[in-house]
Amino acid sequence: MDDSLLYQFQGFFSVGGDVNAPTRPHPTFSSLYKHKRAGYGEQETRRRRLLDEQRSRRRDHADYVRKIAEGEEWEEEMGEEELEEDIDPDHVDDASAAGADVKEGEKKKRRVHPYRNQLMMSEWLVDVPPDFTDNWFMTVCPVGKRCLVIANKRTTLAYSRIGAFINCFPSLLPGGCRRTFYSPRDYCILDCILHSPSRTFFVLDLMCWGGHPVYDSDREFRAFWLHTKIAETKGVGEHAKINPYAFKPLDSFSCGRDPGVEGSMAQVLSKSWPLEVDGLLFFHKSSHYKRGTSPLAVWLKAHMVSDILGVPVAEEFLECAPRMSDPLATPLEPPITPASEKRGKEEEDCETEMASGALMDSQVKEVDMTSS
Amino acid sequence: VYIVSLQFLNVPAFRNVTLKCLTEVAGIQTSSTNTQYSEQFVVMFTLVMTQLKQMLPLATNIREAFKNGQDDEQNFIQNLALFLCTFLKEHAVLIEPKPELQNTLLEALHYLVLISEVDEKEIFKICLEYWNSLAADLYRENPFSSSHSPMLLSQQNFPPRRQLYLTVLSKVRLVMISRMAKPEEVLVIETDQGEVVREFMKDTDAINMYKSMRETLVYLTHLDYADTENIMTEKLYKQVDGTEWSWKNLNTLCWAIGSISGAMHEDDEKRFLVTVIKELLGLCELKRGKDNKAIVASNIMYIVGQYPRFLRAHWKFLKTVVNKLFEFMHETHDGVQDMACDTFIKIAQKCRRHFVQVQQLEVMPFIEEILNHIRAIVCDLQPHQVHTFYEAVGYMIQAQMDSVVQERLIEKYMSLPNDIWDSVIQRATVDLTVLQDLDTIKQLGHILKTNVKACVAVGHPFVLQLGRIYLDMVNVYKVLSENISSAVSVSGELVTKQPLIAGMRTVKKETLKLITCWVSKSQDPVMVREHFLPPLLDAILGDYRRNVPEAREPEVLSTVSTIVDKLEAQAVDDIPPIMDALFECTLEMVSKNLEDFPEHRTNFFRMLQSVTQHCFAALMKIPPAQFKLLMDSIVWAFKHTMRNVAEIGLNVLLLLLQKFSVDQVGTQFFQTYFIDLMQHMFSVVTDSSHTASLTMHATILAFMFSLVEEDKITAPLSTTAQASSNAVYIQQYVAELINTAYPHLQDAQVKMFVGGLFHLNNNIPAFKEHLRDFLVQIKEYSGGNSEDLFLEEREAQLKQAAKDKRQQQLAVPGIINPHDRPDEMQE
Repeated sequence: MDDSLLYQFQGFFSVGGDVNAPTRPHPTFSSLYKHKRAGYGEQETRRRRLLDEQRSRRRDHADYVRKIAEGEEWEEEMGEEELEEDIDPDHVDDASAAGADVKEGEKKKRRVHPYRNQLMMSEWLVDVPPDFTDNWFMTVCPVGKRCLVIANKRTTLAYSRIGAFINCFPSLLPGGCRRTFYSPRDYCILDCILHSPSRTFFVLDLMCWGGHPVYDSDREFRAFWLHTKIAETKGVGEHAKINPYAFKPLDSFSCGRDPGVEGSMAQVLSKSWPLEVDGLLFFHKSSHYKRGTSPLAVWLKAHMVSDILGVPVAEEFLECAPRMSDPLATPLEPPITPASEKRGKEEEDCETEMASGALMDSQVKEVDMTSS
Repeated sequence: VYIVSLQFLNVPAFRNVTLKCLTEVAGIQTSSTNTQYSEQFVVMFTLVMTQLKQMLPLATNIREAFKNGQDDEQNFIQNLALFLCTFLKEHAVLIEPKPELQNTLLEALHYLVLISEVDEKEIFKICLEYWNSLAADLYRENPFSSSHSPMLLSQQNFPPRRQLYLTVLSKVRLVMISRMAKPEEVLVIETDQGEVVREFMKDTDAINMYKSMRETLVYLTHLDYADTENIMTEKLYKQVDGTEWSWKNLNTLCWAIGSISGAMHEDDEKRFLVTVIKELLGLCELKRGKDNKAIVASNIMYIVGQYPRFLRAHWKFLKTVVNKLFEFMHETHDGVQDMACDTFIKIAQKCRRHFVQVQQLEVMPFIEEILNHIRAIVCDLQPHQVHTFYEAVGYMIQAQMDSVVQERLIEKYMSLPNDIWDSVIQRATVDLTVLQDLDTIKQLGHILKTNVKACVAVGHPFVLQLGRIYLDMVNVYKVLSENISSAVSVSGELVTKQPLIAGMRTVKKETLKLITCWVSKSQDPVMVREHFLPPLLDAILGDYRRNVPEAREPEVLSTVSTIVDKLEAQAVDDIPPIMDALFECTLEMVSKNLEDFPEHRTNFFRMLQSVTQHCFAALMKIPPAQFKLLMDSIVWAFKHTMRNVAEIGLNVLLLLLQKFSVDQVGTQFFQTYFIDLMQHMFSVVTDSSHTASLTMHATILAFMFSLVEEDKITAPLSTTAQASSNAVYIQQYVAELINTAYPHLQDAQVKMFVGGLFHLNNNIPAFKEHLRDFLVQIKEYSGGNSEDLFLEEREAQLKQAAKDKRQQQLAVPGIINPHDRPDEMQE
């Protein structure tokens, strides 16, 4: 059968339109997008732009967190998200910079689901940022279900990424149960990974603690704040009748490439890990918490690290991260034109190898050139 | 005669009535040899057509006219459609061979095409019926000409009749394609337990519409494959270039494309499909906004799912599709996840074997990869979607024939739910109050549901998993049941509506469902009896008896019937304890009136049926007092007005009579119950609310009379012993019975009836006829309508017709939806 159909089907067929979404195959490992949509270089540009934007625009989040905590639907001007997906990226700049504030009257209103798409979602790490070692943190994510946790009015609620209700239980988080409820404004909003068998929420990020929003604080502070607060709150990390789920913060490591340095990425990756690992999440130190996908939070599977970052990953670590040959990445030949038919076979071999992650970056580029 | 009525046709006030009249005339069937009438029909047709052309020029846009027309005019259109359809269906044969009339015929068909475009369901149905019969007729005349190599056939090679209809049919295709009905309806409902469940509606008006449209279109495709393809491609381009773009149009078109799966030659189908998918992918990329993209995406997936033959032939494509579906399972846009899961299960069922084989260029079977990633794939899905997903994967595992490999797959497959299950059980063994926590209960319900779905799909080999959790599951059941029972006795029946208690009931129900499901699929009755039955008897049945009535699950009864059905005679020894636990307490619940506990009711009598059928010997051992209760309950059952309960009751009775008639202890049984039963039988036969089961009544009575007549009952039935033989005694008894109930009947009538009962009891249809005649006699007096006495015959006739039709359809490629067709992937 004509492979161009497969090619089109796998490469460009999507509803969401995020090329680098981790639910799709990693571009490097599926070798698909390079032909039409470079994807490379573009990620870094978006990062720069977002960092600039962060500096220039601070929102008042107090009202925002209250709405999430109360779970009320509200209306909002068509914001960045729609613009991003509906209009080409260049346009986003002026639209969102000129912003919802100026053209208020002209913008369409839109209902916001209080729990849907409230989490910051990562992209695949495609372009390694130049300041990676200095300005980025790594977090090892355990296998589990990503969820939004809200403690408010004596009860704690968990919602899935798409806003579906998961659970309702007491917790020792401020506002999360009768004992820790002091004022109706004492709510907490957390970004967690729920590990059901051990009944643990691994806290990935913190959006609001005790009524104080930290959306516009940078990641470095949020991580520090999270650790401090969880440590201060007695019993929140333990199982108890009043706290049936334990809350445990996930550690952040610097992205140093020297395995000798204590607490560096290279060192972590050289040993085994106590939990089953889903993947590695990297945050820019000064990224704010942004709902929806952000290029300042990027994602890799453990076995991709050596190819993409050039940092060796120990077998022990890989064993904790069940090595899946990525069924999501079907090795596919690009469409073969009659002229390049002879090369077709070689490419096929290359790609099979690539899918198993054995190829180095430079070689990938080479294949790229031959096929375009 | 009709020529007169023609004069009224052009008078607006009379035209509706006139047309109706003409339709009646047109509907008259005549034999083709009767030339006199044939001539008349032809004349009538030409006259009507000439008149019609004056009133309604051929160029009229009937669709618009209808939309803006008055009631009267709209009726006119409808009547016109009726007339044309009826006439053409019956008498087109007369017109076709006459070259001078062909033009008129085409004009008539042209009207019909125009009317088909009218936006009114009833009118469309009328036309559809005609097009359907026309297309089927033309196809049958010459079934295979188009499927050999359609591209080579030039139009001249078409048989003459097809030649005649060629242009019209092309227009009809266009109408069918642009009006295609919705293929399936999904209803989202919330159950008593507060869970969201999606149900596929099987038999609605819209779906029947879809079915007949699909049938028509498939015939039409067989008649001229290239034309269908052209129209569809043309329509598709109009979607892409935006001239006809709308959600509704796109859906309609894609349903049409999906509907002709299998009708084309395989190579043509492939070429066509590749073009269609490419165009749609392009469209999806082109459209902005998630709403638009999601609509295009679900249409692509719908089409893909409709063509399993194509998927099976192209592994790489199949794999790409499935991976894309997994990707969609993470999409947050409304409905995309549901669409992805529904398509996935559709594909899994039809292509299951391909997922367990190692495909070309692959290292391992794809199922392995799915299982490796199952956690990541389902992580964003909602519980009901996870269940669907598990069922789909279960079908794949079921297709693995090597039992060693299969066992390993099952283990891996269930490891995710098992992890959570284990951790709950572990905590519960330390502290039983864990099982009173709403959250835990919900988790258990969810896990058990996943197990049920998996078991449905995997079948007997699921024993591996069931065995793993069986004992714990039964224990959890027991604990929860006690919790519910005490809650009910403390705070009354309403407490079962509380989330926690409702959750517990869900767990119980799912437990029973799981056991029932597996037992019904198991192939090893000995294993069921030795390993699964004892804990069940102990925990679940004992629990049933101890519980308050409101906390008893009706599913317990159906589980028992399933087990008895499976074990058959092997269950004889287990029946006494089962009956002990279930019989009296259930009877108490259902014997108070005819309405309470409807589910218990049906399940209870069904259980009795299974027991009688398979373990008759066990019934003999029941003490007389209890046996009396049993008989009473059967009589009680067939007196129900709930039709299914009554039917089960009758079945049980017939079974019992048959079994006793060949058993030595029968005599005693008949002595005690025969007269009684006969009396009850007559009372239901003559009760008008039971007419639906007349056949069954007749069968039973005939059997009873034959028993008497052939002297199978050796002991005297009469208590006073006056009569010389049982036959004479019964004759007298019945006559007396009828005389007292219907004093208006004459002795001769009664005598004839009773005599008939004896003579005809070897021939059930005749016996039934006789019984019915008698009932009509009674009715005549009371003035009732005897129409419904014939109800059953009509139903049977319809059923037979449907069966014939399906047989016929199976022979036409593509006419059965690929998902309704039994094939090698589904055994």
